[in-house]
Amino acid sequence: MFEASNLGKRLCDECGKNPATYYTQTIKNGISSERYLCEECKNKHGFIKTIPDLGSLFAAFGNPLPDITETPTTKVCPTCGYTSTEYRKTGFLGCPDCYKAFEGTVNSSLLKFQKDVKHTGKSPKEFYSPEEAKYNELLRRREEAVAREDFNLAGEINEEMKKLKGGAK
Amino acid sequence: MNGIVVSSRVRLARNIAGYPFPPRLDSERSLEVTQKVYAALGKAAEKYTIMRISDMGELQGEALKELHIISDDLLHGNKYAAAIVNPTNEISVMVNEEDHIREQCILRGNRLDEAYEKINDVDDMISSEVKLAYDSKLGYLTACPTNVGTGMRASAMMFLPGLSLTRSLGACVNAVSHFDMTVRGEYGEGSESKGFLYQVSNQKTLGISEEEILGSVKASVERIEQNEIAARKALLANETEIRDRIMRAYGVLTNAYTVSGEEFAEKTAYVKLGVYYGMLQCDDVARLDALIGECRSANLMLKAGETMSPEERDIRRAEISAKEIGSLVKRA
Repeated sequence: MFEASNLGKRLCDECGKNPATYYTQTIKNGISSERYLCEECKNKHGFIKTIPDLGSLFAAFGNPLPDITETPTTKVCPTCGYTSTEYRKTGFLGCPDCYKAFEGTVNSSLLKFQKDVKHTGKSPKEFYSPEEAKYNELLRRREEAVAREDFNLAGEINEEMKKLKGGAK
Repeated sequence: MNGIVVSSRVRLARNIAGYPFPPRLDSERSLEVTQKVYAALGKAAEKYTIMRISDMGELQGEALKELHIISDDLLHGNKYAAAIVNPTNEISVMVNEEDHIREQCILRGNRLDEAYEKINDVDDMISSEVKLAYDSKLGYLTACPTNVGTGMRASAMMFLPGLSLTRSLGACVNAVSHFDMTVRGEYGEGSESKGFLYQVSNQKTLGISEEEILGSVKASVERIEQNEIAARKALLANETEIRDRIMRAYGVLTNAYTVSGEEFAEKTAYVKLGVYYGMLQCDDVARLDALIGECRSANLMLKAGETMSPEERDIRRAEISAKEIGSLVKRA
């Protein structure tokens, strides 16, 4: 994603040496191409375009986000404090919980550029925290003990599980 | 193998549950993210190496970017960013880029399925050790909703001199854009990609499965490939001109005293086209492709072990070109 403040840190595409101060972006025959150039190379190659701000970039691509005036209320994510106004301005969210906090706004942008709101792909492998993994392991061992009718051991494991549950709260 | 698909890349965007996205992460939590991902990859059969951007020389960073091993966002973004790579550099897991984790596999040639298989294994390994931000309705949650769902971008780097020179790339791009594909220049650089290299990738990441993404990118790639073959035939209608351009390019690459980066990309592209037509002979086109990476400015200086002025670089590039292309490529 383009950020004007990042330009100073990026090196020129042409000489690879000086920091880039100019950005050009063209869409020709459907191919989008961009260049970051330093002052020297810009003059050398006669490029005339200067750095566009985010607004004009969106104008070139068509703003993927709903207009601010459509949804004037600002919502704040309870987890990270990010606001829906910041999202509309940048296109980025602050944390995973922002998806819930700005559900309406996010959904309308999803409908616009993903043309969908429902995931149909892969889900992560089952993940357990170390406490959960230990608890599951104890559970498995208790079942084994019960199957062997070793109720003393099953009792001991049970106590351990209780402790873990109390501690893990 | 016609060399039209130069490389295949699949990347998966992932984030860790309970952490703000990278731009809003403090230093302590940024380091935690890196630690978690590195520890998860520690269980892999092959040894992964961690490269922190802050420890990297400017030249090394740029060189890795030129080879597509790391992205520009990683190089110039979060100061706690890192790349964790496997010994062949085919797998690169970027940490604290736009998302906490960007898993990428890049392979030479037309091997999208294989690239996905490899990166999917890496993803399974990470997700069994790290709790990822995932929602049953929206899938993998990413900093920008343009990546939400599968978090997957499958792309093919295509060498398209035929379509470029016959000016029919636009029509071809419009045809595949109906399948939610985008086509852009190699680094997005140059209004006309000097090496005739273009990236074809999926745009949609939500409401589509990983297999469907692979299927649609492969179908688009195949369609563009067929069009490219037809365009290369059409170019021969003016054989004298195209043959002359190819032989002149070969002449420059094997004889010039200075060769700029752009000129090298352009002339090598013509030489590759000459090999395709059988006008030039080369038994190792993959080496020719590798040479293009090695002759980019930062890689060139890194290999030489010194920083150089643009003029010195152009002289050095011409020396390498004359030696390498002179022995790799012969007149047919």
